Amino acid sequence: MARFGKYKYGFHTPERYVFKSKKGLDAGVVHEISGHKSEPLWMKDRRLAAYSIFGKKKLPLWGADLSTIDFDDIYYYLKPTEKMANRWKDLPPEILDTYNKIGIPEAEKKFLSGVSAQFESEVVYKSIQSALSKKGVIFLDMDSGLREYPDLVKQYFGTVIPPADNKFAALNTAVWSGGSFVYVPRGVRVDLPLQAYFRINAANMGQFERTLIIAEEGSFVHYVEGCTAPIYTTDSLHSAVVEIIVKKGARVRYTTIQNWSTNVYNLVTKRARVEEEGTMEWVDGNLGSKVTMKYPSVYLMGRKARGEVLSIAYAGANQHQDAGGKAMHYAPETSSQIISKSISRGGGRTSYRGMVYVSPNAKHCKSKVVCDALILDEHSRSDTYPTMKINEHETQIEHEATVSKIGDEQLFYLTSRGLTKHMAESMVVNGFIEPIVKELPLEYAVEMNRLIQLQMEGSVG
Amino acid sequence: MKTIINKIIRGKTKEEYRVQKNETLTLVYLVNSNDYIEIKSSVHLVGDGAKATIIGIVTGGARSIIQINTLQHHAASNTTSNLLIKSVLSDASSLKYFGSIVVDKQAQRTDAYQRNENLLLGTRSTATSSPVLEILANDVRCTHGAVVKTVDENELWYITSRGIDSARGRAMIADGFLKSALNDICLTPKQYKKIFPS
Repeated sequence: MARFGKYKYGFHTPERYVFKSKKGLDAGVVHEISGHKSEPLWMKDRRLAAYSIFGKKKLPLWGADLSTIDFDDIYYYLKPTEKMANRWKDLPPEILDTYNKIGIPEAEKKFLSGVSAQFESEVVYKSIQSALSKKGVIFLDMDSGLREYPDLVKQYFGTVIPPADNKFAALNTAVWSGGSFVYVPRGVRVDLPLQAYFRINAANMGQFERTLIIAEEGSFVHYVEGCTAPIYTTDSLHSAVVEIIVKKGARVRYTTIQNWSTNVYNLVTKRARVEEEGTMEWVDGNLGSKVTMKYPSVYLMGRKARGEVLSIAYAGANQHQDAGGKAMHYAPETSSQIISKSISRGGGRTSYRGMVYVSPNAKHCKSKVVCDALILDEHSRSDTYPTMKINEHETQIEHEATVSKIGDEQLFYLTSRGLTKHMAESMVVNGFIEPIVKELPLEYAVEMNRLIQLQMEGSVG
Repeated sequence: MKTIINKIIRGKTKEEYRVQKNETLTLVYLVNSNDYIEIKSSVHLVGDGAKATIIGIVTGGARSIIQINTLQHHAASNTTSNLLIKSVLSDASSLKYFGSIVVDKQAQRTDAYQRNENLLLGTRSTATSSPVLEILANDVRCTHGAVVKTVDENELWYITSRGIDSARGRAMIADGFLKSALNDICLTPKQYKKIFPS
């Protein structure tokens, strides 16, 4: 584990935990976690059942190399102190420099670095909470959600992603901590995007987050997690589960920007169940981590349900981004679209992995998958692994993918206008990802563009 | 310039081709089955400037299962490959296509194309398509596409409005769909007759 102990920024969060489980995982640790949170018995039973599944499941045989993960050398539960005690000036200059260059606001900077500006955020948080609760919207961290709304959690928890789905879903179910719980009542439209960092009452970026979003009939919510600024963590394994239930005519958009430091294995299961005429949109950006395996999925269960996955992946040196999306059509007249853009540079590897499935009798489904990849130098690699499994003849399913470098003509044109090669390249790359960036909330889009520019200029990462 | 036409109606076929410097290979698979078929075809472009075209024309009926695996392996620079697999699947027939393009690190200036189109006619016909790209060089252009669809109602309406019944209309559309697979390759009339006798 020495390799994860020191990452290139050499920045450590001082360990000040009220409670810390021992290294490694056994049934005792699971008992301990559940007991520490004073959870209802049913949750403890589920955790234990999931733990036994975790032991039986094998690591996936496909995708990125996960053989170096040492499950016995990980702390599965850490309860942080109430206030993070890091000081702003303790941050290494590279991180400060990146934050400044991306131009994120001071308050957010402090928050990101763990020097949370408690007072200001708390004011914002309270005003948002009161506006939400007037509409009947619940927006809590998952632990509080379970405490305050046990019936709702019990009804939906694990219904979209059962623990037996895969090894990491089982692991998450056994040891989950943190994450968000969102409930939007019938017909309610939440205009403001719900952002995880407003929830300052609990740890935001845990290792094993568990998020559950329930959008009742005709409602709308946009949930945003993560941030474009690099997140430095000593955790080597991040394995979240996100379950979303989109009821009739509802619409949910879930935006993630992931920029973990490059020592992290980011293995996330995200899935939405979409009922009649509902819409689910995943906007997924992966910039950081050592290895990412993440395929946001839409299960289209009701007539005319619609799903969309927009994905950007950037892989620099020593990174493997194995991302993509899944669209499962189980009802007639459902439609889906997956758009993936990936960039590999400096020896990085990006892979698109996707699945489109149409079940028998799901007539008149439409699906379109487009994945484009840019390879910026000769050390980098790009793969595309799509699968289309079509069991109904009255459908229209399309897939297309392109892998190329930046066109010489484009570079020639831009450099002849006085741009340097680097500027020209980053301009082309920004144009390449623009269709997805424009779907991000404004401040994220601005940061994303700057970040890509920085990466391209070689000043970061 | 070498053209090979393979007619396959049943059983397992496994073939490997190596295309040397500045050689051109055209490979046509004509698959017509009511049975179980498995085809594995690998084309290695091992010499500078090698070119390969692989065409598959597939018709499946009854409860046939047709499994096709292709590999376009670019091991040298300035190489080009084009692949097009078209299938028409009737009754309860099924196609499982797994194709991959692999571009080695030294195979710069590769141009690779791979396309799989499937027309499902039978109510219980199914298609699984998995076109894979693994690209280790950067100065390349690799594109692939896959389509699964049924007969377009508008096209059928046009044909039937000209006095042709819909069964025959469907057959005409399927016929045109398959014949267009040969649009981009050069064949002698004799070779063409071998593929499409009528």
